[in-house]
Amino acid sequence: MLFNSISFALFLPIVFMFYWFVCHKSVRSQNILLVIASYFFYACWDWRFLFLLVFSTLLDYFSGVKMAEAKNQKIKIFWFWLSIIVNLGFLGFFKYYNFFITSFAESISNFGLEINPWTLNIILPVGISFYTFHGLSYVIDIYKDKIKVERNFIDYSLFVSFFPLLVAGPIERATHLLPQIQKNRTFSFTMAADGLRQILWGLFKKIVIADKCALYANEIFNNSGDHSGSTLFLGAVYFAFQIYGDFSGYSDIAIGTAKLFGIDLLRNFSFPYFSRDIAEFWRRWHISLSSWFRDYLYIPLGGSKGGMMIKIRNTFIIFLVSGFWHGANWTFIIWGLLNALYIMPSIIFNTNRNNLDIVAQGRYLPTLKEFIQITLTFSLTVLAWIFFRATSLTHALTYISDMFTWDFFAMPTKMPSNNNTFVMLAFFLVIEWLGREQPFALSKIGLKWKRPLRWIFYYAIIIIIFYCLDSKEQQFIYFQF
Amino acid sequence: MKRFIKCLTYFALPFIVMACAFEIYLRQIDTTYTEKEKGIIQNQKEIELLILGNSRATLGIDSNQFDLYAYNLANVAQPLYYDKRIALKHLDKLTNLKYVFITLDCTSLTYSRMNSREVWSYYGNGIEYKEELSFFSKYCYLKGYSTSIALKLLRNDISGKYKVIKALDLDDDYKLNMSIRKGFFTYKNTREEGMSAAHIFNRAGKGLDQVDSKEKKEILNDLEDFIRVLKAKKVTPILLTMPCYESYVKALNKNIIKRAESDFKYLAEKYNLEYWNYLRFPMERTDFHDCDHFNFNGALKFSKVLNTRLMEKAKTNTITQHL
Repeated sequence: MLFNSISFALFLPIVFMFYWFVCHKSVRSQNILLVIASYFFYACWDWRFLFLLVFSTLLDYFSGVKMAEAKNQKIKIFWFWLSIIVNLGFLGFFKYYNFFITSFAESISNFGLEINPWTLNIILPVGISFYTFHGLSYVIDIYKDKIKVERNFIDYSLFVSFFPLLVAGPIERATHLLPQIQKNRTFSFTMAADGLRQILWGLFKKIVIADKCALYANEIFNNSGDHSGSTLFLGAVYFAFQIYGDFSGYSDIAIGTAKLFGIDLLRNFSFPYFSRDIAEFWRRWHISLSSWFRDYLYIPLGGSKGGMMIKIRNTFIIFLVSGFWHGANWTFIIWGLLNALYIMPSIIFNTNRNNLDIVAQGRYLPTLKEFIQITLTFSLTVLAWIFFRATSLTHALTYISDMFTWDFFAMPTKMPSNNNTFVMLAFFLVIEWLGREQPFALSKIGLKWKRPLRWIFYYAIIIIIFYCLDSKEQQFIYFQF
Repeated sequence: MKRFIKCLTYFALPFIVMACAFEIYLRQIDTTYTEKEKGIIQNQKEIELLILGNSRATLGIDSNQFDLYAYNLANVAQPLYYDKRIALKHLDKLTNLKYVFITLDCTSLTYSRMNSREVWSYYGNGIEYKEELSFFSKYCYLKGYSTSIALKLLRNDISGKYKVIKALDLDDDYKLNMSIRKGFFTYKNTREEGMSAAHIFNRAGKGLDQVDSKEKKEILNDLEDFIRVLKAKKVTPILLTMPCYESYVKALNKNIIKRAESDFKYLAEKYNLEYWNYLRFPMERTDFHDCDHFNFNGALKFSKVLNTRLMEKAKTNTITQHL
């Protein structure tokens, strides 16, 4: 069930009505309803993988309880490692088995040994990377005595499987979500209206920006040999907007949906394309994953303590793992490494925390310096996205070498058939810029206007969304991760 | 909570009303699919020749040029899967049917889906691909067509240009002053971009060879079954490959052509059918709309060629029967 589908448009109001009108008297019944709804939501993809989700939930729940009850450190360590190994084992098996086995076969074929490895012929269970990371953060926090164990299985199940974040995040933390699940929730008009606005903007990003840019990005990437350098660059820019619209759109819908149920999820994007350097970009892009890696990998590895070499090593490890988390393909690994290289100068010269504020705060326009910084940072990310989007390393390298030719300065040959896409992109960027000091672009825009005007503005956005809606819902890119 | 529900209802009301109105409108609008369906039902007792296939046959065989009563049931991008099922749906009622043109090209045995057109076809003739159509697409036309297509249909309707042919994906290249007669409509002239080297190269799959589709065996079995049903009904199937512009034929990978022709010849021999291969049939550049579709002139000329050959065959058959 996709967020941009009719099924979800029916599912959401039904759950909402039951939640606030039938189950509103106790938090327990609200949580039970949300768990049932979440399992139904997940089963709509493939009910067989529901068993995997339930198993993972049970394992982490019992590991948590056993660790809390452990009379000595050995028992605690046993349950900790059992949970970590089984969780990562499942993730590794479903997501990385084929990659490792085929890479192994290819490498030994260089020595003249030919093997035909057995490969898995099944789809990746949707959301496995996300709910595994939920579970891991919970188990690690219990092990480190950062949080108290959750003994209510329903509450814990909801923490792992809450349907807005189940399949593509934001990756939640027990410290943030569990207290909200445990406490009574009362309906707030402001929060619900804010949620609806965020859903609306998320749908706009997905349907109007991402899906439209995808048409051109796919055409150009799939036939990259036929296009000029400038067209290839344009293709990479289209993809940059596609992936941002797609993933941040998804996150907005997820966060907005959670708000309708009185739950506040972690922020996942903070206008990353307005970043002035790569370090700022990574503080604003997929925030819940970046902070997860920071807290559970970078800091345990020593973080920035222990000298420059340790800092550089840890930064490379983080980006390498982040790339690999996205998928079992060398293109993702190189994408991660490239970003590590980008950020390296700021690590070495200790300028990675230079831009902690919001760009052009309190002003309508950036300064020339800020504008150049934003453009440069965006160009670097566009270059890295080529690796992310390409089907293989050869494809990515050919794409880049074809891009940097003399016809880079010629007019692109693959332009949209009309100006609508550019107009929409311009509108999108203006709204994002105006709303950059808020949690999401549409958060405050129009709130002070009179109701008719405000509604006309929302109607216009809805009409544009409907106009761009395809008969077949387009999958979200991050579902494959 | 009450305030929220009230506000939301007021806000959503215009959209609900608009969606309902659109749904009613879409259910009434004619498309090439509904037009063809209506036409075959109205003339089922007269039809002697049925033309099946994809856009090459849809736009390239003028059913009005035949001495026999011909009906063009082909549709844009229509694979053999649909050809068979649409024809079988009407077969029992086509009491006068003698011949069926099954048009085939190099890719006929490689695909059986037509993506977004599947739902358009379903609304027209009720044929569904392996019962895979989603519930909402089946019963909600607004969902099936998508808002942008629905708006396009409305725009076409309001513009008045499309009063004669109301069809789903009409553009200015179609001959709009001609109504759909015996299931036939076509392009009006030659589109220069469609004859360009780049277009030909891409249309011809960049000259690359393709590995046989996994579906090929299933499609072939399905086609053989169709041929057997037709023969059992005493209807003569004729396998037909449509002409294409010579540069396009040259750009196609030779192995693909060779394999396809060998498959079709094998079928013809196995079931004692005639295979009319016109792929390299010489036609003028001005007969084409683009490199692999006829325009009005081409369809007229080529249909006459087909008619002559068919009449000769019919004559020979009659003599053989008398002997």
